Amino acid sequence: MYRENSAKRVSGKIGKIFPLAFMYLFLTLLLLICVLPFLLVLINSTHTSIDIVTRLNLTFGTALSENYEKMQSSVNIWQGFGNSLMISVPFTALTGYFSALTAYGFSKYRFKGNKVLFWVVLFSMMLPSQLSIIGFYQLNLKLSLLNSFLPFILPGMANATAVFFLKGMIEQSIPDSLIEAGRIEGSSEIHIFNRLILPCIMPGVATMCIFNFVSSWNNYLGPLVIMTDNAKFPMPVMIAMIKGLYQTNYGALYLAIAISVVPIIIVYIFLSRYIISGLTLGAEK
Amino acid sequence: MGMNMKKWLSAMLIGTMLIALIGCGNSTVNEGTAGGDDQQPVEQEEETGSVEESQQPEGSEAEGLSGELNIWSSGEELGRFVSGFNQVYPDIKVNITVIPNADFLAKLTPVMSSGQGAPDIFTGESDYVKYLVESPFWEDLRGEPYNIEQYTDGIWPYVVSVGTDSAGAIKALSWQASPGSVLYRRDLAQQVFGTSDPEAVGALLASNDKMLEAAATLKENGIAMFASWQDILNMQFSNRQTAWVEEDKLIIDESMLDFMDMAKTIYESGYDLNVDPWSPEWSAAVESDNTFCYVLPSWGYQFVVKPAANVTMGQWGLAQGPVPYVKGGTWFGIYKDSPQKEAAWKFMEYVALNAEAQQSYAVEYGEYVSLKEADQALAAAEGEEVLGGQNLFEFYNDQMGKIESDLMTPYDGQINNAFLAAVKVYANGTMDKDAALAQFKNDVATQYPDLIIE
Amino acid sequence: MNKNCYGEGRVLCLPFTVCFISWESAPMIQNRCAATRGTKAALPKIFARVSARSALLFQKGMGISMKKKAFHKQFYGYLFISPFFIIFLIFGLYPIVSTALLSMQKWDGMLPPDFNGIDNYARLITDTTFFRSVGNTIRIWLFNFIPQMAIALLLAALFTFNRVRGMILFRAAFYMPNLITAASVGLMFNLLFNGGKSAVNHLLLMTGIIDTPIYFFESPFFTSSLVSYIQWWMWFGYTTIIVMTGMASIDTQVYEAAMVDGASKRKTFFAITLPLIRPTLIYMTITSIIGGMQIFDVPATLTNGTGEPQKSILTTAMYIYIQAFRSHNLGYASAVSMGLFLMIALLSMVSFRLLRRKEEG
Repeated sequence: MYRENSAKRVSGKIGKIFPLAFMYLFLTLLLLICVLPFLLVLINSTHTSIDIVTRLNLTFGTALSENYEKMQSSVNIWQGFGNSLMISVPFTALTGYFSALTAYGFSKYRFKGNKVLFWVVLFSMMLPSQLSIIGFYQLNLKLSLLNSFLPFILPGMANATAVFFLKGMIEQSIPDSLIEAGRIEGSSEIHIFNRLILPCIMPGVATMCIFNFVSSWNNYLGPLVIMTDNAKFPMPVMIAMIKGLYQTNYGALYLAIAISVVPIIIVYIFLSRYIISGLTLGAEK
Repeated sequence: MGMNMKKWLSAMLIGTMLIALIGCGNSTVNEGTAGGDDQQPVEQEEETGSVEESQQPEGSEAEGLSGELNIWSSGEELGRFVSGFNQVYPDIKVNITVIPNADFLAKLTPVMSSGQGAPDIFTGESDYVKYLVESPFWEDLRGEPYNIEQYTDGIWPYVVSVGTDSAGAIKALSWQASPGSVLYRRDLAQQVFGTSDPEAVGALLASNDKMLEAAATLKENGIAMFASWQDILNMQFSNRQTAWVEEDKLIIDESMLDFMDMAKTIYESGYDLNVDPWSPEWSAAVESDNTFCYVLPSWGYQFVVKPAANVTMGQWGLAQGPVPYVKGGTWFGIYKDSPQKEAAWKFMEYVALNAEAQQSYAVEYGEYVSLKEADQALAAAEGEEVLGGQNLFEFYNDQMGKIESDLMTPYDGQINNAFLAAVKVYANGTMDKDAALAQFKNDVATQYPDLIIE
Repeated sequence: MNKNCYGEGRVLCLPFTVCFISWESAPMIQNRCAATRGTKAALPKIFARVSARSALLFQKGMGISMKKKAFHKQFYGYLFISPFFIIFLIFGLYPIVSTALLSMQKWDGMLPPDFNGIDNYARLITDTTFFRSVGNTIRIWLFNFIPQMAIALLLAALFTFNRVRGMILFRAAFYMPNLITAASVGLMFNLLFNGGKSAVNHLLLMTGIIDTPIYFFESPFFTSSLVSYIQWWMWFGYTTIIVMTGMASIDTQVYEAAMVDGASKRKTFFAITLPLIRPTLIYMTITSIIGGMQIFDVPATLTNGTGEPQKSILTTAMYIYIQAFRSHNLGYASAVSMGLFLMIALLSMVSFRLLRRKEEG
């Protein structure tokens, strides 16, 4: 009850800054900007390529099945769909757990080289990927991992962005005394992490899971270069394959994009509602 | 929460782990096959087979040749030959991987350097085909068992010339040839010039100056002559006396300098739609009533005009511009260390040297093909409905006959881009000619530091 | 059960991590987490309980000696970060080292390479195109980052401090642009703006805002701004979510105190909220620099892939790609990569220092 009241008082005061109508107008405008292109993708997936490039389509067309056939004749999109799932789901799981663990190690244990190693983590993100793809190829060749999903799953354990984010979160919101309490109760260190820390930072972990699922789902150049087996290609590579050489098959392309976006929307709806809503002050009721 | 949630959770957990397991399981299983384990026996089969095969006359039936061919292609066209090929060679499985052209070299590069995971056959686009031809990755087709030289007379010389390296080795062939044309609107020609005949229209476009005159006349009638002036560059490259690079030296042909002015005139006078090729408006111009022509080679008809022409059905014609030209195209060759050379060659033979196969392909897709015999046979057939009955093979045969060799270099893709950028800034008035040329030279030097640029 | 506890949400996201947690302890976890959920109102109570128990246990002599504790801390610290570093050493380090080595070679990527020392670097420091691409990249990043942060802060404040109906819907929608692959986004915007009869020109002409069509992609300024806009559009929702998590971890008691002191709302936001979410701001800034400096897909697909018009959207990552895979200068492209790498490291460290110093001062 105490919390509820304070939240209301805060929101009541700051809320006056923005006249209500203006705020909703502004939010709706932003919403339109963000959603319209999706509508465009959906609409265009039902039009022929010629129609798409020659006019602005605002209503649904009749070429959906034609586009579907065109798309399936170039690639087996559902296989790509399955491949993408098999990469992105375990990747996301590894990212979630190990980023949290690494972040926890960095922020709550004082050891030699802590700071230096943390900067190493950061530096690892700074090399542009367009070229390191060559080294990445050579590495996977040596490890006989070409055509395997592992090169795209295992790096989830070493996700610097997520570690960076969760490190901040742990420092901000996990008091040392909580850990001490766990220790004194006799829990082992890993137990403390699993049972105490991880659940507490779960909003952050889940947030990182969403973002990393999306980036893994949309990974294109890596799989394209590393994989040689057609049957292993994930969605983005298959979508790129739909583009013709001289002429882009826009209809089929938009349909494929539409299909590829659906699972991310599901994952998002699935995760986001629960994760961040609890964090806002009196916003939901 | 309680039981329901727990059950639900365990279901999700099992699902997740299952997916992960399948993912890992699959990959290990396939690694073995991709690594080449199963290619070993096939390779031996090939080698013994090749001796027998090569002694037999061309066109013999498949002698139980089997195997699995991996082909990397920057377009979907090669895939169209597979079903026909499998009728002749049912035991050769053909896997075609279409790799977007923009990233084709990114995928090819590490594979070529390591020599592992390479396809048996791969394509090369006109932008970089010469680079690949000059590199040692494609098999020289002059030797056994290919003996390509006995067939080259049947192929349009330009196609062979591009696939031949500076030492004379023939490494790549193509199923297509891409002779140029001016794709114009017959109805608009009739309305403005009083004639729609390809010969007569060709005469009106016989030089760059005449083209500009015609453009002025069209402009008076509210018609833009060109969809985009950038298309004309396709043709102007054949207007050169020298290639971009000779003996490691950048050479700017006189005709290129002239073209800069022509482009500026077109831009300033509004003779085109002022759009980039392949933009929506450029594509839409097929069905417009104010755009006279596209300066595009044979693929321009196949990909741009033919699929879009409804209202303008029968209103298109092919005419020759100031010069006959060729532009674009895709070549393909056999990887030098392929364990499946025999099967690869059979595929190549079918696609690039089998006139029947090419003929049926050309009929189905409206593409101009690389074998003289196939094109000549098709020239006798009926003309195209879109072209008002004009036979495109007849027209293009005539054009191909006028083009002997090519002016292509390994540097063309990047130099063409840099030149186009320079013409653009000069045409739209951002830079004067000297500055634009200086930018061009600087760009080339940045991309190719080893070239001598004066 | 307390509805406000987002325990359910936490549980739902667990398919990804559940295997590591034992579920019998769920209720206990929920209680403890109340302490860190952003509303720290319940904190004292829990701590009172926990520390009382700890004190008791400590007295019973179950505490660990200080020395052992220090060893413990070292050991587990290394243990917990070791999976990360093992994988990093395998998959992350090799590409970096190989790029560094390649940068000292003349290599087309296919034929055997030649060692050429620092030639590539000598070429790099005189390469005007490289510096231009760096300038473009920084400009595109700045024009996207500043409005992105501003909007994200505004939205996060709105969503956190106000009852916004449909907040979940809005927030989900704002994140949506991030879902489509960047390359497809570039292509889509090209179709919208390219040419005199493009969709946007249609719209502008129809509504009478302009009389003659605008050729958008002829203007370097417009094209570059469009890339910034697209980046903003793709990322402001993401940033909003991140900033919201930062704001949510601020103790409401702090606001209470401020209000008792009579601080204005605006002042509260700038004097309390902003400084307190500094770690979030540091995170956003540094990851945005790292990502923004490597921008590739949108500018590569918006126009013809060479940075047209007039190289205005030629970013350094595009330049690397072109040098490596169009002009076959893989060795030189590696040197450019290292150059960009240094640039990013420098910018990150500078901004880190700047943001940190403020915090201390």
